[in-house]
Amino acid sequence: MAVIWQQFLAGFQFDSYFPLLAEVGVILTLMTALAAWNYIKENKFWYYSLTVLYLLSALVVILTTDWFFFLFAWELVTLTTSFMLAWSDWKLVRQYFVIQFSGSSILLFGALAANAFGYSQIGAIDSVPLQFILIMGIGMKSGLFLFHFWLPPIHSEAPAPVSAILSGWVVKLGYIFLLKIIPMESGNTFLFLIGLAMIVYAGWQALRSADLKIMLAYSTVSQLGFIALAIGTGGKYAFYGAVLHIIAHGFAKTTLFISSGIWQKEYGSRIIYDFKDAISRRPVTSAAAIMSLASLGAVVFTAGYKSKYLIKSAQTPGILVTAVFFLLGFLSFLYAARVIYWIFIKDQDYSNFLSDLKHGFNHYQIYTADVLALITGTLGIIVVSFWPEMPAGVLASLADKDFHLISGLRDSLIYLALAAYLFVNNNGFKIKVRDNLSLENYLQAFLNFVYGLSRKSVKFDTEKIFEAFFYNAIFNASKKLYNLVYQDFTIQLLWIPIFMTVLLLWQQIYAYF
Amino acid sequence: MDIKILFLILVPLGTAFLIPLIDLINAKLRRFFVLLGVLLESYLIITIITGNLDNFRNGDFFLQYFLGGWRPPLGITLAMDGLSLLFVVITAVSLFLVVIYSIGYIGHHEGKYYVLYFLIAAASMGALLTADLFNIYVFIEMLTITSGALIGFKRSEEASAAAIKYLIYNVLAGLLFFLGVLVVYFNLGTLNMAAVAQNFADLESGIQLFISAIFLTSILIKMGIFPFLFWLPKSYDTAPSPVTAVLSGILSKVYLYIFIRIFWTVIGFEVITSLNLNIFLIDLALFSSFLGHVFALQSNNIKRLLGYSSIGHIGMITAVILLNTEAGFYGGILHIISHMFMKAGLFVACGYLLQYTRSHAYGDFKGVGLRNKSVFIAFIALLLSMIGMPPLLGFASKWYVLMAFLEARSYFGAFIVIFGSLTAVIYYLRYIAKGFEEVKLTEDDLKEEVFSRPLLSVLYREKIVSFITYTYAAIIIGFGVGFRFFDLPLKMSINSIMNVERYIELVLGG
Repeated sequence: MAVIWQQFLAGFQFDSYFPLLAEVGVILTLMTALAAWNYIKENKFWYYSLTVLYLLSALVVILTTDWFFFLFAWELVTLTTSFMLAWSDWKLVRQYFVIQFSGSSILLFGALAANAFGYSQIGAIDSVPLQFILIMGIGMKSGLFLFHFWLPPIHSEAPAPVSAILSGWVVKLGYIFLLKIIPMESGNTFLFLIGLAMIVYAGWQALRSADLKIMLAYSTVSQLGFIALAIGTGGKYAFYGAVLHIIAHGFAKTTLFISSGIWQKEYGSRIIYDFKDAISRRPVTSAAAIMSLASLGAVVFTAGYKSKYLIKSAQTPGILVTAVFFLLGFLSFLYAARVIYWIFIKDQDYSNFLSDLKHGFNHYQIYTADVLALITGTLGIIVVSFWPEMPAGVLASLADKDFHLISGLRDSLIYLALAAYLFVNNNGFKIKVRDNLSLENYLQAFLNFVYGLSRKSVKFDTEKIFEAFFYNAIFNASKKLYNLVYQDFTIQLLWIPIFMTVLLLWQQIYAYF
Repeated sequence: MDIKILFLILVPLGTAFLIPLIDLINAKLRRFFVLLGVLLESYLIITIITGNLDNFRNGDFFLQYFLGGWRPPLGITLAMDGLSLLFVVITAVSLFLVVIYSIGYIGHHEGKYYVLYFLIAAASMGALLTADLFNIYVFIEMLTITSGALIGFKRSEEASAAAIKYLIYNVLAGLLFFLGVLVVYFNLGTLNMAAVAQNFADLESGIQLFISAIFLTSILIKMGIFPFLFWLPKSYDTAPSPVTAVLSGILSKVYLYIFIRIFWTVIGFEVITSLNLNIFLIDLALFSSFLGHVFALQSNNIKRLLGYSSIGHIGMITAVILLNTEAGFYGGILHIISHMFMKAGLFVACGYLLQYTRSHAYGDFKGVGLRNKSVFIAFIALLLSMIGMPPLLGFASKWYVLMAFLEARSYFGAFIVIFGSLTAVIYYLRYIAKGFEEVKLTEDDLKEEVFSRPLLSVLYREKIVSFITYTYAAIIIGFGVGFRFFDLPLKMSINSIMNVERYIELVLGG
């Protein structure tokens, strides 16, 4: 017992930017805990015990260099967060658990392979194939491109504080792990390309969603793309940019998911077209949301601008890079601005604004805990945006870095003008609300596609899709093998002489091969 | 000379023979007598451990006893080294737990049950302790016949069929083993394992091959590796739950011990390598493991499913031991320990959960978890351990097994370990989900339920039964956190497997 305890303690590493990330993780979890105080009504004790367990294991994941405890703690994170989903629906728990478990088995395999190749501690790994396996391993957990399919349904269906935890910090754990294993000098081209694909695809999807939580979930994927791209680029500033982006996006996304929960209670809906008189009804929530959305859209003077600027500046300079990053920035600006446009500008009536504000027509009570959580998030964004070097001093060199605020201001103004033009002329990209997003529907669509190849339209009972698809196919296949092996009793007994003959003649058979 | 190890065999044997006499006096006294026997056995083991603590640390633990004072190569020797000590301890713990469970579970024909049970205990202790080939054969036969009788204990048609199948297979295996013993005796003139081991390398390679092939076939039948796995699930299904826990938890591990003893100590692994059999056997065992997991997928009966998963795990353990590396033994023996507790615990929990259901079928598993919530949670913990979830013992042992495969660059093995975990998720989650499904009884269902309920299914003492289930879950969780506790015993047993010369020297010279 003593040995394992010593090994556990010896595995901790307190250098570089990981302690800073751990602190941010603690702050974010406390924010969600504050927000959950009034949101979660039943079994509060269990929820908070799960939160504490989650917090401790997430800290271990970030700080340890020991493979064993890393995997162990991550598995605990998975378990605790999946049980937190139970406050919404047990179905989600099962789906999330199965997905995360399949991800962690790839990760386990990768970790063991790394261990077998002599990387006895978590540290920079030079071999590219090994990097690839580990990237695949975290891919499922952290929603890399093509493995992100589960992220929008589950993050949008979860209870709001849990979405805030999942989207704000749990998915980041994978990228923090990548920060440890990808060498800073070289980066990884594959990761770079995947990041690019994520930004574009998920950004486009975020632009096309009418549901606030789904939009936020897709924007998570898109912003994670920036982190993946930064780590893939390699280089000091790219890595600092990734760290800063993890922190900035963590604050912004946590705040946004908390406020989405509040709005859901306030309006009884998650569709952004339904939100009216948002500012007069909930002034603090609106201010925090505007601040966070601005940070998502990388408006100048916000946290998102600093991190994205760092990532941009780490690329090899050139006209193509400038153009591509201009467009990528525009995409994220566009989907963030669209939400602001719909909630605060389009079809809003500000004629009696001041009297409404004084009156405070809110349906859902304003709780102090919620306000505190939102203010903490906003403060976090402000701190990151004005002091990117941050208290810890690891990123101290950022204090002298020139962030070219003037060109940033120019870009933001151009974005604003373009966005305003596009919104006014396209009716604010008003898009039909999509059907309930869920993994069953994905499976249904996939199966319909497969059956559609034979021109048959079959309606599946999606309630039993787990049973039907995951099980019956496997059941029938293994039944066939079973029937092949299980012949009648005489043939079963016949195996004994056959086996003995094989053993006695094994020398000859072996020589023959 | 240490007479305690003789008493390790004699105490359960004596208990078995005295139970019918006690029955004549008072049937209620029987349970206390059974407890007395088990406690005496535990006391013996504890004194052996506490008396030899210094020897454990120095790494020179060895006890032996010459029956009747006859020294080898003539007489029969009992010997206990690190490996057999470890197996004796875990077997005794399991036997202890299962006997307490049986006190609560078995409500009818108790006398016969305990006689057979203690004969199994005596035979498994004997097989673990003896240093004589013929003696091993005798104990194996004892195990076969008593466990065969216990498999047919319910006296239903199915149970009798399963018992007959079990007996046919195992008696054939016993015959083969006997043939092997005969061939050894005619060629070497001795049956003492150390003496055989000393002279085995001098035999002709044809005879070496013949002897190894016969022993291999016989022991593989007993363990249920691929071409001979057919008897296993059926007998696990029909036997009463505590018997299944013994079969899967203890007997298969005793056979694994005999496998290690014969192929490392007696025959010597160099002989197997020179015959190129090790490659064949590793692949065979892994294939068997694969088949076990695949068959488990199609099973619609929870006890059979657990039997198939046993095949999967035992194949994996055999393969990892056959790697013949230190890491392989470490992982293999740790997995033997963890599988022993997990499987025994699962069967024990099944015995509780299936008490009110009509059959062991999947459909009847509906709502079981809602009716017996706390036991079902323990059941889930054990299942998660089988899958290999981290804070549990199954994860630690699977981790070491996987490490051993990767270290030996045996990627097929590594694949099988991962494949086993993944398929286990599929087939266990299904049962967990079913257990939480709510039952909506129609009138027809109710009628069928009332008429088909077996009369003797109500548990005799429910508290004891559920308590033992929790104990198993607690063992799995506790040792899952503190699996380093097994570090010293594992190193001791690896030492005694690898160091054959020392064994020979101590048995023959001591």
